Amino acid sequence: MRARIGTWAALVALVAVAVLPVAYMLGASFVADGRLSLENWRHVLAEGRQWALLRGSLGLAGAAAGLAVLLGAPLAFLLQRTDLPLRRAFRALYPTPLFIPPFLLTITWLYLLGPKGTLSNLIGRLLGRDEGPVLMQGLWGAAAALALSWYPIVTLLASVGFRSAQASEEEAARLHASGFQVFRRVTLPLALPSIVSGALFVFLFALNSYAVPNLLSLQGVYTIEIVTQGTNYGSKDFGRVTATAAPFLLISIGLLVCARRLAGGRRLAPVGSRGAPPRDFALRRARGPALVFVLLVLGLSVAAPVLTFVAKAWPFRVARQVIAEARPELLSTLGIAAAATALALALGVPLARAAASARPGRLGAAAGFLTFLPFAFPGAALALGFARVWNRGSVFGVESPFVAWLSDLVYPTPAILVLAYGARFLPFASRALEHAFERVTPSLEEAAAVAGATRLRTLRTVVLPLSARGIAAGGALFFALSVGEMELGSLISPHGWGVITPRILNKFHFLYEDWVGVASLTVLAVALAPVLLVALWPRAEEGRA
Amino acid sequence: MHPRFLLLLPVLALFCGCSKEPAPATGGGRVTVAVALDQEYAESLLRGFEKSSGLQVDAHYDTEATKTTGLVQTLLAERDRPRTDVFWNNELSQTIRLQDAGILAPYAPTSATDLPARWRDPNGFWTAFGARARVLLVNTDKVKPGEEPQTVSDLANPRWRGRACIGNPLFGTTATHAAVLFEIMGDAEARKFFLDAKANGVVVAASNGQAMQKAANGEVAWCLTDTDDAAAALREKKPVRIVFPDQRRAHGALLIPNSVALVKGGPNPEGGKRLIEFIAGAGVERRLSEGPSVQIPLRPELPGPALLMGIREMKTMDVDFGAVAKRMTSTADFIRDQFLR
Repeated sequence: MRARIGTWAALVALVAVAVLPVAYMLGASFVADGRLSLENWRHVLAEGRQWALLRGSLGLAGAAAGLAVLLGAPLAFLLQRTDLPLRRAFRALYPTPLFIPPFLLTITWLYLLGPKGTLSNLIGRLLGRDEGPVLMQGLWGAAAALALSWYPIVTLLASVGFRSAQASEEEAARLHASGFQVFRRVTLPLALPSIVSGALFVFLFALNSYAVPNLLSLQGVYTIEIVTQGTNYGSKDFGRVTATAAPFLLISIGLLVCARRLAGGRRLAPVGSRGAPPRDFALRRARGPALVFVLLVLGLSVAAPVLTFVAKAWPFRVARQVIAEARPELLSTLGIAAAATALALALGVPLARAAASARPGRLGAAAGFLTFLPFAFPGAALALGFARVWNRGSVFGVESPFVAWLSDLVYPTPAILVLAYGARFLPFASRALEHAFERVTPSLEEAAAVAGATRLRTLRTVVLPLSARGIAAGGALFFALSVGEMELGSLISPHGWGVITPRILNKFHFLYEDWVGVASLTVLAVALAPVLLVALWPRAEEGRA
Repeated sequence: MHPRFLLLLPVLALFCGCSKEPAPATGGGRVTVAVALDQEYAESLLRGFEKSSGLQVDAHYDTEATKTTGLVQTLLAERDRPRTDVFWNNELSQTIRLQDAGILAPYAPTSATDLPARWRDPNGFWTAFGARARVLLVNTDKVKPGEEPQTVSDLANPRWRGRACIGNPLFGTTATHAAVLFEIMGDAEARKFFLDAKANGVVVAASNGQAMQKAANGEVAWCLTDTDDAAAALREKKPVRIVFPDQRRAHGALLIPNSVALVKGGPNPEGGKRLIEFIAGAGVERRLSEGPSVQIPLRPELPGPALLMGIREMKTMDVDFGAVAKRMTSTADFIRDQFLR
């Protein structure tokens, strides 16, 4: 019962913090000239531009998802089901791009393959031309940057699918078929729903991206349009702006439902007894190419940004000056991200416990859906919603001293960003926490209860030791995403509390390459530090607990 | 409530307490400013003011990600509960829009009486100073000397098909420039010009900064941008040169000044007025001219920036920014619905 009360309390807090701005924005789309109306929707749906935006956004997201599958799915198979050398090290490394803000990866590839980029020039020289090819541009450039950022999602989910095969199924198939046929007819079909689920998540994240298309000057995508509309027409036609964001929201929700359905039945961690694990596939002569593929993927997504920023910062003459100059933003980013992480864990733990329980019920399902809802709304639109909901002195036209007091407490302070980050990235923390709690076999908690342990004692001696590392991993992921956030930090950071990411973007535009190098390396170090701590955290085994 | 929620309270309390109390009406304490001028240029000036005045300045800067219009919309959204004392804009027409929307309060700084009258609002709602010029930045590897474009109209010239670039005309100074063109050319001619430029394959970058990068990197032959972006390319020794447009038989180059204004109902109006006195003074204008943003002083007695040779002799447009401000929305509608479509 207490657990349910905790979940309800978290759900109410989630609605207040995260769902209200989304609901406000949706509600505003049904108001025109101060009364309820479908006018905004009629206007938006009648605009031919909507279809062009839809095509542009779906094209970008589809290309990013496709590329992410091409990188992530083979990687999952090689790391989980083959005798690839060094695979334990690769398994530890492959999630790293999730902790590198996509706009930094885009800047990296603009430095390398953009106009006059280092590699572009090199290719040009090799081809005997004055100018090398500009590969980092347009839709495919943006899609490649997004795929390099998000392919670990596909790898993570596909790994679950590849691990789900049972030895008996594959051994039976091996009696009549070659290794390749077993892979094609048994192993791959079992993993396919997980791969599709991963692709849908990447599709959604790419659909939601603003900073990457902005850096590459892509015009015909929803996120750019919403910022354009919001910043030009926000005061005049607020309802129209919100109606513009609405189709995006509906598509995102549809995708979320599909992705969660596909992934929902599959736990990220094995629970209870299962059959013997299947044999690894022997790579034989494919070992060399497989190793090259894995090194290439990790090189493009991890080594390239780090080495590029080191090269730009070298010989670090401006390092001290950059750190001194950017100290306020760095400290502000660090503090806000840390506080938002604490908020996300406080909200996410009870919600994820409900969603990960053996019988999640309606409450768990509602928790699962609502945590994802704010992420389905574009960041810029969410920022506009936060500004409207959290800076007011009245409700439905009635003055309220309490609302005014709350508004003064939150809106002009960093608390507004803490709440906004909490809402925006809760799905990531929540999913990681669900993963952590899935490791706790229900029978262990039941056994503790039968043995007379109180709930608190069970939590302390059974649940936490088994899930603490996962909780920390969820927190680390959330922290890294908050550190790399761009739109919310640009639009609603309070006076005197600017964050570092827009500053890096400004410096990039003004060609301060050494500054960008030093600041980007600092951001990467800050974002990755908690992950390294988690990696050093000893693993808890069920038996020991 | 679940005990875990107790974790939340100190965290939020900590951050809720991070905003200091508004200063008393007599001044002192903290003053808040929304700054559209790039942080790189404005921050050191504001830090200097902090030291000399004893006031703490909390600034919210414009970013390349959301542009000036983001700040303007924030000020409009905060209309009923203003959180900002001063708006330091890097152009003028959006400031006049805010004045028309009733967001600003009048305050005529005494430090700006030496500015020509055309750069001060007669009712004291805004003061303009240190300007940027809209110039053509030409890549010298792509365009031979003597063959450079000479006018903004060259955006629609078939000679430059697909080789010229502008920032997004819905944002920043390019938005102002577009509205200015509508004002001086008239609706029909301006519409034709933009549609011709579109048909001519003009490249639209996300911002002036990106337009400059495209020209500096040789992705396009030239771009229309601001002098501060052009100066960044010159400073980085990119193969570029600046052309002042429309100097012969035309309106001249467009000057877009900074502007500063007091926000009505801000938390510390007295502190805001002190900050405006500082920003509108000759000292800031001189430092903006000498600094990396190479702003052009509007006070005739101040010298022009050394990096922009001949800028003082440049022919400039005579623009009614009040009329331009009234055209901003209709121009943006056209740009969004027809030019960017």
